[in-house]
Amino acid sequence: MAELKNVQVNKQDTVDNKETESSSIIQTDKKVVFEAKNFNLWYGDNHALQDINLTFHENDINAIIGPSGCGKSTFVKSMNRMTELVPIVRTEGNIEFRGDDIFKSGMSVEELRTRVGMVFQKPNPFPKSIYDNVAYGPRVHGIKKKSILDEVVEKSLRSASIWDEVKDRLNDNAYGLSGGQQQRICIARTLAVEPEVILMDEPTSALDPISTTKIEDLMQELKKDYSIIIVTHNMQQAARVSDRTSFFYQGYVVESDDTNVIFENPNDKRTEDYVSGRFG
Amino acid sequence: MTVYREKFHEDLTSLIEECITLGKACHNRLSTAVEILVTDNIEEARKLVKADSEINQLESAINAHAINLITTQAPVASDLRTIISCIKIADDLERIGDNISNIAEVRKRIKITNERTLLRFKTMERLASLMLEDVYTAFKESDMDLIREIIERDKDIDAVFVQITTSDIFEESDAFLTGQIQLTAKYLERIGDHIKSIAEHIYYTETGTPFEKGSRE
Repeated sequence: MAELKNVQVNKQDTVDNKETESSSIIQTDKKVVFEAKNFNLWYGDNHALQDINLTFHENDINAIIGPSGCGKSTFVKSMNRMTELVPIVRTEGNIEFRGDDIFKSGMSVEELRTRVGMVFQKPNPFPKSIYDNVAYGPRVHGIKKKSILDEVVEKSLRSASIWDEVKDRLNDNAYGLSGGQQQRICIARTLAVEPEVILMDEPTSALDPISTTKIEDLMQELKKDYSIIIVTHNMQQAARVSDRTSFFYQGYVVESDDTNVIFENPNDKRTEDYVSGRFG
Repeated sequence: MTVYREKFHEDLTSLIEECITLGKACHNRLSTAVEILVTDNIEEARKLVKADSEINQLESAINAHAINLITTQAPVASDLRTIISCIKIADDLERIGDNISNIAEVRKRIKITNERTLLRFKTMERLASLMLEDVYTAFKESDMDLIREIIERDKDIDAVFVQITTSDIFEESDAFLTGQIQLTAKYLERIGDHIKSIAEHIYYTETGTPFEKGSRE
């Protein structure tokens, strides 16, 4: 009963927040890449995402923050339909990518995941050479010509700021690289299929500070050509790298605004308490 | 909901307490400064000038504490605003301390005897002291209406300053004395400005937006 009461209170809070959010719609000329409309997700009986309404624009870095279990990773995984891999998952509402509902019957998951790449928490290169890791995606897409693959591999590794470190050992196994280098190989592998959006689920949480800085610098370069959505537990990282920040709490979006507003003067007390480290 | 970072928030409270201590020290010295203008014993003035080093030390301690909290705690939002405002408020209070010392220096040089001028100085001191007391109340009670009122009240001190420097001053025949009266009036007027500035920092800390004239938020 007590839990039910809490849920009801939170729902009321969220209604209030929606009003706040709708009254502070950001004016921008940038095109919308992703838009969640009343998106809900259940793991069995667990209502993990509740009435999510969020808009993501081109060439923005969007940070998603919130305590463990708030639904941020679930939401990001929903954006390229990876949550479908969990059998007990059920969804309602829409997530639109470039105006198309990603859950509609005609939408190809393969095409969606090509256009919406993902980088995970732990570097997960294939047990292959650096070259083969990056060339894997293009090969799957039917590119066989060596000269084109060479070009794609170099371009992707350069874009991921790791070309100079690996150009002389492209045939070495990617497992021989450091964690930070492996993560940048994974980013290069994502870039090789020329996605429009890169989803990053805590991409630096397993990395040392220098590698983290390199990935953060890389994100600033990548945002010129890509839209980035990053889930992070590191509040300072969200404040440093992102243009917009959304705060998730207990499956709701409590507040979504420009990053400087979220970290300097948030509207909701729960956001203030979370970014200030008062709870987590 | 589990509350974290209790030590940090204890430190933040302690930083605010240090600012309050500094404010109280300035408040006590302010009334003394105007009182000693009429005393025969110049030793009181010397003591007050010397005591300024305590104010400076308190300000340095606040700055060191604030820098330590920024370095070690990476504060954001209202916590960061509180720390930045503590640094700025400590700076204003330190300048108030300097002005109090300067008034004591005037007494070391000369004794002002003109009753009306002394009454004007007493009025300026009372206005400033009340502003300082009310700043403390407004901060404790997060009363932004009072903050706005305090900011407006600086004009009263300015009005007395104008009265002294554009009218009363011409009654004095001694040029040196005229200069010293003008300086004292200016020091008291500057103290009012610094208290107004403190009120504006508190407004910023509470609301997250800088105080602007005519602001109604």
